[in-house]
Amino acid sequence: MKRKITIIVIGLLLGTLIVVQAKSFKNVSAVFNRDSSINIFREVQILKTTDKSLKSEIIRLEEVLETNKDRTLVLKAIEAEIAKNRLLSGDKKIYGQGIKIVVDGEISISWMIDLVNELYGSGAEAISINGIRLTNQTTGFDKLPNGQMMVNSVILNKPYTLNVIGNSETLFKALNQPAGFIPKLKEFQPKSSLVIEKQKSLEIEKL
Amino acid sequence: MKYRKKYAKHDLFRIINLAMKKTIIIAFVVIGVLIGIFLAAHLTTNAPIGSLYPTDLLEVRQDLIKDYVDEQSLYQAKIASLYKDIENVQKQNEDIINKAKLSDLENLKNKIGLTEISGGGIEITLDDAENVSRDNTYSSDKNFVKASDLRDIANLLFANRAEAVAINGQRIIATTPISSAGNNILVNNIYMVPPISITAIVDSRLIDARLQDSYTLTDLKTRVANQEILFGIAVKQLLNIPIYSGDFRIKYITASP
Repeated sequence: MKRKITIIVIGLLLGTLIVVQAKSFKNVSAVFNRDSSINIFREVQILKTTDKSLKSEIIRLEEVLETNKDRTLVLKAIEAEIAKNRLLSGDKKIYGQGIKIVVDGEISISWMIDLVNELYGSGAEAISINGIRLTNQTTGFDKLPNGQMMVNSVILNKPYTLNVIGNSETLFKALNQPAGFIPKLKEFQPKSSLVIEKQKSLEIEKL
Repeated sequence: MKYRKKYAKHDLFRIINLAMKKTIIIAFVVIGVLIGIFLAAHLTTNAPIGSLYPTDLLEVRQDLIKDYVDEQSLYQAKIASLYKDIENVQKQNEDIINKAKLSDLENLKNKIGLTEISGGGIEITLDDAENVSRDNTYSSDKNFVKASDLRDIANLLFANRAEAVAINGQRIIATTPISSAGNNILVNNIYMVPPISITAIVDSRLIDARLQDSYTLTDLKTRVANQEILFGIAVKQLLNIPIYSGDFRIKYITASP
């Protein structure tokens, strides 16, 4: 009788362990997927910040419009607009504070896309990978049949070095936050490595 | 002879007895495991919840989001209209502006997404599976269109030389973040919910060929094949991709001397 009770207890424990293990595995998978679920308060905060940025852009454009209406200032206004657009287009070599990221090992294109997206979402203003600035003309990672990564018809050799211009503190914190990009990368791309350094000044070459 | 028969019968009874004991032990273990699974599943299952947040909080959130979405649509329309006004004023002043400068400006605006682009291309439509609600489950639900799906498609289009791409009318530029927030998607930090329409000025044959490749968009293709999300693609003779109507960040960028 004693033996039968022992067998039942062991069976109960085994069953309990199976279910608890399965449930915790499911929860871990839910937390660590490519899309992090920011809570609804953060969602509203992003919308509020976007609202503010759009309002500021309207004020700036209204000023540009007024300057353009003044025939004595229009030439200067156009020159200022050209200078600003050149910084954005990749036609000019630029520099500024930011972070340098070195990625090595095995990393899939999806995770590289996510890294660049995470950086822009955290306020990055310009990014280059292995010296190639990512602009509207160069965006788009591609994979060769041998697994090598390519951007703008240029094969990228490992390690991949990303120069990112933006607020270095914010960018550094954004990547390292719990359930942020770096913890997720460690979990899902364990054969990859990522080193991140804050930089007071780094350069990005023109296209 | 008689003794031998008696002993053989005795051995047979012993073997049957042992086999029965083993069967009983296995049966006990199986019953124990099943009861354990049942109890653990029962004890660790939460009561069914209709939502992750109280109803009143969800209502406030919906109202807030609606206000922001309405405002942002107005602001973006205003930005697009201001760019047109600026362009018109510059054209009126052509007599005092160097033509090369205007052409330079137009070329740069084209590069950064400030000109409307028209041409042939494709329209990809994505939608959540039928009978799922974004208010009831986590965004990791495989029946939802995810931000990562949109990122992968946008990347595929740009990698195949798309001239311009828009998601639900939002022009995608190099710095566009496509992220998830709660159960929803933000493109250029503008809120959107499925159905999603991705339009691109691109060589449709090239995209068709890339989609045939088994290594392209594998996760998305599996979910579409399992009818977990809805996917459609159509070739379009004429598409208009609007200008980028957000702000540009250049607080930390400085021109090299």
